[in-house]
Amino acid sequence: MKQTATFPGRYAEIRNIGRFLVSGYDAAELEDDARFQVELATDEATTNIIEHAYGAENVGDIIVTWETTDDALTITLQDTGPRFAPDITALEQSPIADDENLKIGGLGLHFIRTLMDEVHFSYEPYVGNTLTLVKWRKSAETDPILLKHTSSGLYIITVRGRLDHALNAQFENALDQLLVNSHFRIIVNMQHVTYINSSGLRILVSVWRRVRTHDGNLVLANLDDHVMEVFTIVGFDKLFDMFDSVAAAQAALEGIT
Amino acid sequence: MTLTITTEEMDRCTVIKPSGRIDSSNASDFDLVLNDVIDGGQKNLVLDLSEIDYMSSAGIRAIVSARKMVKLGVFDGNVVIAAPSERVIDVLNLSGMGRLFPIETTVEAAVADFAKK
Repeated sequence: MKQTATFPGRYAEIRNIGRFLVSGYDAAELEDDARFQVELATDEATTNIIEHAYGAENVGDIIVTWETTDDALTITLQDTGPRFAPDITALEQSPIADDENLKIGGLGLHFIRTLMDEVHFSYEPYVGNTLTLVKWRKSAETDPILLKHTSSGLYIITVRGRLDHALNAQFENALDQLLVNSHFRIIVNMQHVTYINSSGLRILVSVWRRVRTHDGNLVLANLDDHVMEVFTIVGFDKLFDMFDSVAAAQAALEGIT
Repeated sequence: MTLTITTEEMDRCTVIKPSGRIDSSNASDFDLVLNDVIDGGQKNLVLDLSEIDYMSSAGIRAIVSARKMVKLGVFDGNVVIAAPSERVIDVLNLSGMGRLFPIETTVEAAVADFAKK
């Protein structure tokens, strides 16, 4: 999911930008702490754009976009000001931690860098600056089996770890639940699967057979080279539809009704 | 967004209580009140943050510059932070100020800090 809105470059808009982001927090199912952290980082970033890229209020607009993916909520802030790319790596230490030297410049950047999981700056002449702030989704980081459904009725299972005795029972159970509830269009996101054993493969083939009898499909996305090799050796690369991204798998499955 | 700030003079200090949220749009209001109190000769400040649910680095700047001012001159004063919410404590720690400022859980305790002197 993705949403974009344009705000005038004024400090009073910070609250409105905060409100605009709430639907992004909801879509990414962020917890309260993460919501606060993203709000504060975006506040600091907006302030920096007005102060440094535009140099004053009411000089230009700020285009704010939020986008959710399987793993993260990404916020981008675009301005049309001159190049503004501070050295973010130099700000891991708080600029005012030292009592004798209460320099308070750069505090906002220190906040942004500390609060977000990833921060990127880019600049394009005649376009302006783009600041990208990424917050990883906690559930995506920790849950070994993460199940999501899309508005188009697809189910995406993201597996983290090894598909062997460690996760197979849980994996099979999650897939069974989908079949019991007549959900026959399934994407298995293999991006974080480092290993699959023969019973992991058996589970996939068995579920694939069953969804096929209901005119559905089970497809695989983001296999790494080692896991791909296992599929190739047993010839399953010809059995399953495989995609380079969840988005590509989604596009293919959305053709099936 | 205007910030509502009340000040109350005590025997040995002044309690300054902003309420709502402090960000770049209104930190200058906070700054102004702090400056006024210090310019009036008060160097002992209690910042009652019990009604601040959100504060950005703009609020930290105002507090740090107030601390700088009360530390100038012959009779140096102090800035004590009282009753901050968990979120505000997060922000204080993030800025490195958590260990720089005395923090009391109640306004009464913060006021008593000055009475001890």
